[in-house]
Amino acid sequence: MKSSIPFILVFLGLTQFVSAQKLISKNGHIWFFSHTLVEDIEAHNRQTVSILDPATGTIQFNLLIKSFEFQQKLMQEHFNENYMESDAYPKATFTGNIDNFSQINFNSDGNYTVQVSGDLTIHGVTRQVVTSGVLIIRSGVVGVNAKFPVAPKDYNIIIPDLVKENIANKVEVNVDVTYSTN
Amino acid sequence: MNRKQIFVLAGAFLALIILLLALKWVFRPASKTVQKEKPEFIFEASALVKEFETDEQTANTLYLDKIIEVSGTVDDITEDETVIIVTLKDPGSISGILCSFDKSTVASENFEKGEKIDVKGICTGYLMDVVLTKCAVTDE
Repeated sequence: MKSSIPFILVFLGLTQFVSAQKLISKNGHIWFFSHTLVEDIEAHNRQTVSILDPATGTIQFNLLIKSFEFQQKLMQEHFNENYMESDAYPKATFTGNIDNFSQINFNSDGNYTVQVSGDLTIHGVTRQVVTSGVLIIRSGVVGVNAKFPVAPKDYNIIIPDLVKENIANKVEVNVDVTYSTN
Repeated sequence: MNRKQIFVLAGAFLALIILLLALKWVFRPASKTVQKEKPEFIFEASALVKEFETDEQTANTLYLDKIIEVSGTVDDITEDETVIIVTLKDPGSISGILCSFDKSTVASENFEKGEKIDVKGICTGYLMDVVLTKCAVTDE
């Protein structure tokens, strides 16, 4: 009977490993940067929710458009009311997979270059996107960084002629998420 | 100087002032906190969460962009370079309220897990939790 105790412990440990918990972050940082000769515009969202499943490599990002903060109040109002129509489309989401997921060892520290593909939904328009990023593991803490371009017109975001020169055709989106361990 | 010249000069001066005021308005900086503003709604944290859980769309039309004051129990405190995020959540419930404070307005030492606090902020919507931005702790 005594000898079965270590066996049970090993068994418990094993099931825990198999049903490895999903990694969650509720304070992910996503910001965008628009560069033109007229002006540079940036806005930051620090309440992005992201879920990464280390068992399957599925990765999700959800954010609220109204949580983007600008330097200038009027810009933030125009962004929400005229361009993103955030009352009608309050969220932007990405749901996808890490394509080279098998190359990542979640038990060993390192910087892994990853390719991620999936569906990006902004302003009610969903498009398939592929981008590369870096998955960072530091003493068990997992984080992801990525940078990719988004063209407003791909998502039916209409920029009026008057300010066309002020907003880049391709806005650079940056992602910086550190998952909490619980 | 005759009268006409004085009128023209005064007109130009007035136009300049209006232009400057307009520019100042267009480029006014976004505020970092709702400290000085009055809340439109006051809730227990769990009651606001419940409204979003039961009917998110209706809750969106009612509360998005509105200043809401909530009282709840501090469940978690996280911070990065610019913001402190305090999660208000009742023990045992899944969703809570994420309150984001600009670091230039408050220090994280002011918050303590398990403590009951009143916070007001702008509601930006609901993901896994209800999100309030530009938060301020309300004075008793």
